[in-house]
Amino acid sequence: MPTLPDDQFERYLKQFRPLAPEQLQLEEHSTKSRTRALAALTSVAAAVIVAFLILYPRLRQRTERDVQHASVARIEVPQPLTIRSADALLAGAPSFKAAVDVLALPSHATSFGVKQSALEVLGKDSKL
Amino acid sequence: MNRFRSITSVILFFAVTGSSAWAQKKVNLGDNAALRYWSAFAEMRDSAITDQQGKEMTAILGGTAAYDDSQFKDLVEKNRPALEIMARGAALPNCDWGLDYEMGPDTPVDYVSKAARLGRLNVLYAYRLLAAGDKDKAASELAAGVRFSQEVANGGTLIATLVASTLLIEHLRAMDFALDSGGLSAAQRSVLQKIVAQLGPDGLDWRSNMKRELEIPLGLDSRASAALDKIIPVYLNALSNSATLPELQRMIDNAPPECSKILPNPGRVVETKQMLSDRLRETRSRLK
Repeated sequence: MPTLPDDQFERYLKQFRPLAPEQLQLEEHSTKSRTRALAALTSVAAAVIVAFLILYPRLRQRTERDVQHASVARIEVPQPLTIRSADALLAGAPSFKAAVDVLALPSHATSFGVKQSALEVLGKDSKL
Repeated sequence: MNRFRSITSVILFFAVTGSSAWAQKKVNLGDNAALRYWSAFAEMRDSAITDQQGKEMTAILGGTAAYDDSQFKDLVEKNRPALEIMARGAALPNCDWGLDYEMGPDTPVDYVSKAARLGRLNVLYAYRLLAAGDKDKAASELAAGVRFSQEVANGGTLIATLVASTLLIEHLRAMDFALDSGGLSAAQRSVLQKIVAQLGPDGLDWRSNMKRELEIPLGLDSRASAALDKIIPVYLNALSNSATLPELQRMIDNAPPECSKILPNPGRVVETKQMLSDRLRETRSRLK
């Protein structure tokens, strides 16, 4: 700014008019993005809750079934089957039904990769 | 001379009666359904199925899903020869599995696991016939399956009785399905009524089989053996009178451990017996 005499400087100063203060841009931007983030978080949380509510019963059912299968799978059928080993099987099984199901498994546990032995399936899980 | 005649007569008598008894035994062996059942076991053919098909099969046998022929046609067809041999065996008058109980607890009973598989294949075959509308054949296969299931327990112990009971329940479920889906003719109903009537109120001879089970010599010491001798009649009585179960359980709890640990859970035995009786009563009333 040039050095002016006092009167000219006074005139120069009088040219200035106060302006209405604008809202601070930075602050407004921050509020908007915070709102957006909050909305996104709320949507994600809602989606997670909905998904949980839908999937939980199925997951629970599957887990229960897995536990049941695991308990059946843990029982081993001795070969050849005798009265003594059959009685031990009955005593160790969670139920008579589970013992009968295990008993009907084929002695040659065939592995078919993604597939399984039909006779093996016939030997398990049917409700009494 | 007279003496010579007498000796000759005696020799001839023994020769004739001996050969006749031998011939009789031969005929009886040929009529033994168990031999046909063993042939059927040998004819069983396995098949690879997916996990999903496995679940469906389980649901069908459990009575919670309808039979889907497109899924199980191959498995059933592959096993038709085995099932036909089984049905022919079921038509024979007697079934003796020839168990050698002199072996005590080491008596082999491998036939029960094979019977469980063959019996369940027969249930699927009956569903297949029903799906194809061949109700005459379905009724006769179900009748043969019921007879086979009952004979699985013949002369057996607890394990054979439990497998037989499971198979009977699965065949009775298939009968209920046949009645639900379009009904059966009077002749078809009559085939099923007849075979179900032959089963009696309990379906199986639980008492004889449990007696056999409990009396297998186990080489117990005298104290345990004496306790077992007292328990056996109470156990057998509990099969027809469940009110005595608490008393039986008290006796088992107070018996020496080597005795109590070998006894099958009486509550479970009674419960399984009751389940079969209930199912029989239900099917019988539906067939009327």
